[in-house]
Amino acid sequence: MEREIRELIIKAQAGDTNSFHEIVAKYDARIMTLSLQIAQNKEDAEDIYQETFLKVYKNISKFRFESDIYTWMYRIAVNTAYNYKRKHSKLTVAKAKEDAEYDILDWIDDPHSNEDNREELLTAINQSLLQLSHQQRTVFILKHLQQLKIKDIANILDLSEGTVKKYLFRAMEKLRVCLKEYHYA
Amino acid sequence: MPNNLSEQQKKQASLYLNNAMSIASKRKFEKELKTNLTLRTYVDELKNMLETTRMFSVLSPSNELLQGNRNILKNNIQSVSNQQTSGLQINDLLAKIRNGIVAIVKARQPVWAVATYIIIGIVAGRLLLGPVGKKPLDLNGNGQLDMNKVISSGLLDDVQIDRSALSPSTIKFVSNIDDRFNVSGDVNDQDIKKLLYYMLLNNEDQNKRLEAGRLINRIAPNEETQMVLISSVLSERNAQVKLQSLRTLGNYQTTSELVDACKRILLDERDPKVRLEALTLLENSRSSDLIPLLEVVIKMDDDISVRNKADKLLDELQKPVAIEKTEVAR
Repeated sequence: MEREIRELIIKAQAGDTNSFHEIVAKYDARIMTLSLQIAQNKEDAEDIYQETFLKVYKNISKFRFESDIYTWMYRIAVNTAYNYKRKHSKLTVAKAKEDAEYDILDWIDDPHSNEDNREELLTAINQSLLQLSHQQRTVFILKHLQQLKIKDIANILDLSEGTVKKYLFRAMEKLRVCLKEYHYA
Repeated sequence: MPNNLSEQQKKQASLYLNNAMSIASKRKFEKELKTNLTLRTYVDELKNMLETTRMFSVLSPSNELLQGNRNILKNNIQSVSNQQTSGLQINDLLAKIRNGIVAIVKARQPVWAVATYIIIGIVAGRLLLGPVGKKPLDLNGNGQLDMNKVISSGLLDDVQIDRSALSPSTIKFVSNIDDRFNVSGDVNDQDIKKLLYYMLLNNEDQNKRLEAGRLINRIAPNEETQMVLISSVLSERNAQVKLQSLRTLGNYQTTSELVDACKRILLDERDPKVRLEALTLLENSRSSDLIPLLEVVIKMDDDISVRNKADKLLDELQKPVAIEKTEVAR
């Protein structure tokens, strides 16, 4: 772990909130990306972001430097997002679909935004991901967008590896059908 | 065409692309891929889908979104932090009150005197311990005293100051219920002090509480009285009584408990005179920790004199910093 980060963590553990906010600023883009990917709408992603960092703040004194701080925060974020969406999924699917249609490009920086049909494609992906159940979507995102191993996904989400594979299979099959017409390679 | 595939073949394809096959199974599957066009088409479609969705992984949230959320997070953390601090300080305060009560109960006192402290404990416990989920002091914990009888007798509620006996040096307490109850002495006598504490914290009549507050003002400053006065300002409903307790506290050393109580009054109290008095007490603290609170008061308080006083205090607190900076610059 970098010395600078280590010092910030130690200061944050001693109650220095400025150091804590410096840690947040270093990692929050990745946590927000994950939140957006799982939540599929800005409002939920923001709630997940806030909930995640509040949990990190309340528990930072328990961090023992046995892993990378980002791995530890990431785990909290995934669990928070997973539980948040499980609680709110029925209420927000309609809203999420609406968001997917109207403001998907409002809350992201897209390095390839000038490419032809890119906006249409992103909207299609977003909407296709919304066709998946919450579990299928989370597992798919962790595996294929966050590049985690099945074993780690099972561990983070407290599922068996078999269940993770089952969700992945269902997710890939649905997405294959939804995105059949689109090619981006 | 891929629809002709079996569920098992599709699952195998998924495992293959998810890198979840054993080496032997993978070789076997790849061998089948070479010969089975339908399966190959299916795998290609999955690969294409994966490539397409990976577009999502290169996206990052906009700076506006991140900055907005960082600001919200700062506010959220500030309120969590305030709640934690406030809880701890109240607990510390209670621990002190509780320790004082326990020490006196153990040191053999007349029944009524002990009862006074127990009542203070109950009042403090009810008003302060309640919100943090702790129980008041146990009345049955002392084998020598039947406190329930003392309280249920109503004697402590009836105790009052006999004005005819009031002189600069003597105070007399009497009871209309029990003629035998007749206590007189100097304001600094232990028994008198305890009765005044009881009256200030527990009497239902606000005039009696105010009178007790005025008499407590004559007690030589000490930690025990300060704790009772702080309990009073935190629990009192009547602004005049609260004001009296705060004015008396002005004669005391500025402790962290006093500063915390004043901060709470500044944020919660409705009466501007009481808030103004709390600000006066905070002037003695001269701690830069007060700056954020004062900034809030300057912006939020609806009384102009409170705002002006807070503004003046803020200026004074910021002065030394400005001078230091100038000196460093030189």
